[in-house]
Amino acid sequence: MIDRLLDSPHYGERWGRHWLDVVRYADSNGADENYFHDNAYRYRNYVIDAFNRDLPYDQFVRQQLAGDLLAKTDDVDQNFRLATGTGFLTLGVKIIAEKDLVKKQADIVDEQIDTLGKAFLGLTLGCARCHDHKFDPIPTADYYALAGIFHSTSIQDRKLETSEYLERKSAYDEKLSIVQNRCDKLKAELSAHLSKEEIITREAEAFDRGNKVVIDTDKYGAEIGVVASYIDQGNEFEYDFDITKPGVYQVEIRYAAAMIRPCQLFVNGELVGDTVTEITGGWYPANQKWVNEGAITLREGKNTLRFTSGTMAHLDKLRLTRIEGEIDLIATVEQLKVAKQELDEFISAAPPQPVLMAAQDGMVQDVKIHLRGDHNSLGELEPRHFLSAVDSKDLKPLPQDESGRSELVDWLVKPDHPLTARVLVNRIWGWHFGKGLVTTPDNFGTMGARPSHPELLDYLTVQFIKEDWSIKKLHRQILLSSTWQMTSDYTGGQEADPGNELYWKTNIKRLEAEAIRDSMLAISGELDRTVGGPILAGIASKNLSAEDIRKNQEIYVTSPRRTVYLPVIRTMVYDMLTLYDFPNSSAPTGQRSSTTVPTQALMMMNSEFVTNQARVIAEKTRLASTESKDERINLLYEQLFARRPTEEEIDQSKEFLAEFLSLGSVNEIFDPEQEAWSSLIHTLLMSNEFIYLR
Amino acid sequence: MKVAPVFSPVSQPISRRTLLNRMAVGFGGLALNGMLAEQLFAAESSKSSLGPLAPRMPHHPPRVKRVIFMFMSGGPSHVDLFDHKPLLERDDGKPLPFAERGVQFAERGNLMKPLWKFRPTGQSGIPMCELWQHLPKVADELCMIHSLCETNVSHGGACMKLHTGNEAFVRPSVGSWVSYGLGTENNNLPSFISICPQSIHGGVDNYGTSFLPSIHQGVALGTPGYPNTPAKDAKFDYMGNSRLSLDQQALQLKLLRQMNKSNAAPHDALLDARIQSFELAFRMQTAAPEVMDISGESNVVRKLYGLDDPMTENFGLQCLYARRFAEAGVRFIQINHAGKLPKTNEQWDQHNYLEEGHAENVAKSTSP
Repeated sequence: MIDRLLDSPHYGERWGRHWLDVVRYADSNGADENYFHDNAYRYRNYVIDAFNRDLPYDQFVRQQLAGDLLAKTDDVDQNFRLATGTGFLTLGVKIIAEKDLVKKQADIVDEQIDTLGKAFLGLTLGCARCHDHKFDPIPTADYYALAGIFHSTSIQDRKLETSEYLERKSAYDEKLSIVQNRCDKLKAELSAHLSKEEIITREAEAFDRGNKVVIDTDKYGAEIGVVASYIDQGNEFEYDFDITKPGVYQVEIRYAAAMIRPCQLFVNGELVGDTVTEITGGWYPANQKWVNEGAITLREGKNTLRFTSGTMAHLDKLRLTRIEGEIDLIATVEQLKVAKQELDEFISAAPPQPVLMAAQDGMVQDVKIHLRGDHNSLGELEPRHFLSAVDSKDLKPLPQDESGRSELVDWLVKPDHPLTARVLVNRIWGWHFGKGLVTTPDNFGTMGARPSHPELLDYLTVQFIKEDWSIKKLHRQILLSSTWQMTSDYTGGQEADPGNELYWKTNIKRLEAEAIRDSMLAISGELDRTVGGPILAGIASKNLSAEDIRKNQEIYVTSPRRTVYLPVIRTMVYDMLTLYDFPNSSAPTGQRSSTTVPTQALMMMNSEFVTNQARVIAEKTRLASTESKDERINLLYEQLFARRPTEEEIDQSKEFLAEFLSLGSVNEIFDPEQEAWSSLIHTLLMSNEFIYLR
Repeated sequence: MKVAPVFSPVSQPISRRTLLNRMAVGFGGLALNGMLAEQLFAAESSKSSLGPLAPRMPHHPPRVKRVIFMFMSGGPSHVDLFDHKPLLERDDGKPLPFAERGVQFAERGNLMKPLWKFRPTGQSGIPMCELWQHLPKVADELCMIHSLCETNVSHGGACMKLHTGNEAFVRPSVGSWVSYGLGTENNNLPSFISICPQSIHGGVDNYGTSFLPSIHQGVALGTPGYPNTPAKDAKFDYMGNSRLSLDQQALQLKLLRQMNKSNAAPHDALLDARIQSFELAFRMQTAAPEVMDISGESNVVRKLYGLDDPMTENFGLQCLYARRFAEAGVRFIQINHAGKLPKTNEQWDQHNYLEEGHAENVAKSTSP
């Protein structure tokens, strides 16, 4: 049975969720500006998959801190997976609107260090930001040595390739070349007849009218001057041309683009189509290239060329060249216009490249110690290194061309220092038994609890490392122990050890929030067991409106997916989850609390989700059983509690049904009999037996 | 004095400071408990079922029992409303006489004098601008703090700092701390209620518990949103069931009790506590609507709270709810004057239209 459960794809969903607690997983930023994390789900699926594949924990650590540095294999999917792991570093709460960018970066790094310290080492490293740690041997210098590693790391969203994307892309490219060729052929036909004299060149930044666009003569337009727009802001800019020889003109634009950022071209108010649709290799002047944008018809006198755009490439010059000759210009220009439109449409339907919340090396640097944590008051430069207390002998300077995350992981998972493994082994124990051998799983420092069974923790840790850091093997070892297999009914040790510190019985455990919801869905038969997949469409706006929240609530109540796949919107997590101690997703949580509060009861009594599930179960058992009340109650007990009811319980249920019916119904349109059964099932779902494991 | 080594394998000896500290608090606490035992008696009797919400005494005799916190979202302009700066009048239109700070929200203009005249109010002479027509009548009931400084120029960071004390990380809000420290005096209502909260700029975190137990979470009256829910539509979640009568729910409760008793399991305090939580929830379900039922309020009271005027109705109703919650023993109540004005994204956020906007806000939040 243990093998069957460990091999189930749902194992990763349950145990991966434990890890998601530790890494403060969420699908939105929370805090001041609650931006949606569109791509966080890839990391969530990565974690579930890692648990299912029993990825050795040392590799799991490595991928989460430095996966991008390993992602140099020939297998694009493997590279993608490795980079996805570094989502770990990106998920923290950020004060998005912080105007002091130096402080903002320092806060982001602080959050990363705090999370990595608690998650992997069980150490509160964050304390050393402002002062030497008060209790553990972590001087401020160590903190800024680590901070240098993360100041050298960038967490901008990344675009990467998967084999599925590449397949779609190559099919797309093949078709694209056909459409492109048609366009190019027509352009060439026209270009063959370019006038030598009628050439008008304009500097892009010398537009006649325009709003918002940036004129850059400094960085991207050094010595040439460009017109650009670094943010999506609805640009419009216009050029007037005085034309003496009307007719067909070829349009060329000289620009630099590292990404496709099209501009729509209008001639005398009429839309011609997208221009600036190519990638020239970069944003800088060295990448400036002339691109033939096709041909337009101009009249005598004043003509206005108008461009509109969102974010924009860096435009240097425009050139209009008259086309003359015996070819049927008007017809060719029309054909080109149609072909160009087709091309634009085709390009706009290009397969989107997957975007990742992931880390990669940025500008490699050491940082100065911030005196009292204040970024405006800097002390000595501290070269990047690891904690001096743990290993001071062979500290080598970190590479100058890499952040040092890879070396950080080497140090974290060095088999001769067992802290990383101990912290994980203690977590796994805690998730099985409800509390760890060290009851403060995120703090193994002086202020943390001491282990109740130090030798056992050491033994399991050594075994764990010997077994190649296999979490599934650790599960097996724990589950096959007599400690795990004890009953909760035994009372023999009550006097000697009332707190059950010595594990003489199993403690009664309440189901976690996810298990409560998923169990109800499983019994009602509505549970959708699909594994993985993208985020369920929720809210995608910055400022959550009441309408956004309502939509999200609807997903929570109506989605049949497992709870692990419901969106985790910081500050707006489904209240059924938060009521049942789902962790605050803004900070690492190694151990959830298990509270009993009246608001849980209110939710159980009145929530649409619970009452709906009761009604679905009532309908299902009505269809499945005969007319006999006893049989139906039997069936219910079997499905909800996996046992048959006692005589007394059958009588209680029957009495409930009779009394319920005698009270009359709240609403005439519902069948009173069905309402009574639903209400009985509702009560059984609320019972202690349903949500406590014994 | 010797300090124990950091990684000492034996438990550390108690330091002198700790010892003195514990003694002081211990003796002080004991004495205080004795003095106030009588006051606490009523609450003590129901303490067992309250657990973490049982009323507790602070380290010194309290002078207030409850807090009503009016949050004017967006940021009222203190120099135009309460904080008279004569030099602003003198130097109107001149550039800033000191260096700009390193970090700004937007380009800063020149100095601007207050839009309204200031005059002393009440016996104490607290300065208020002339926009305040009704507030001067209670001037002597007010305490003005003029020493407050900001550390964050953005709404989000500033809101978080104001509510939780921290602008960069998620921390417990002030109401949660009060609930955690003092418990509640009404076991049928939440200890901390936020009336018509917003969902932005910290949102739920502004009345959240962070690392404190979830029981101290501020309970929202009205779904948090942007804009927030109007007071007249504000309800608590899960208080009532459209398809079950109270009698039918009482029946469910009876069955739950029976099931717990007939359970073959050994007696367990955890399981009993859960049944008790259902009974408490059932009582809350009737207590909350009673507190929020204002049909019994006289016309005099309605007028006093501006309920007869569409201009003041929304804010007035929030205030009336707050008073009724306070009278029912809720420890910490937050009122949120938050919404959009035609030309402003947030109620009191008048970057421009200061004259119109502040005039409208003052009119909406005060009445004779």
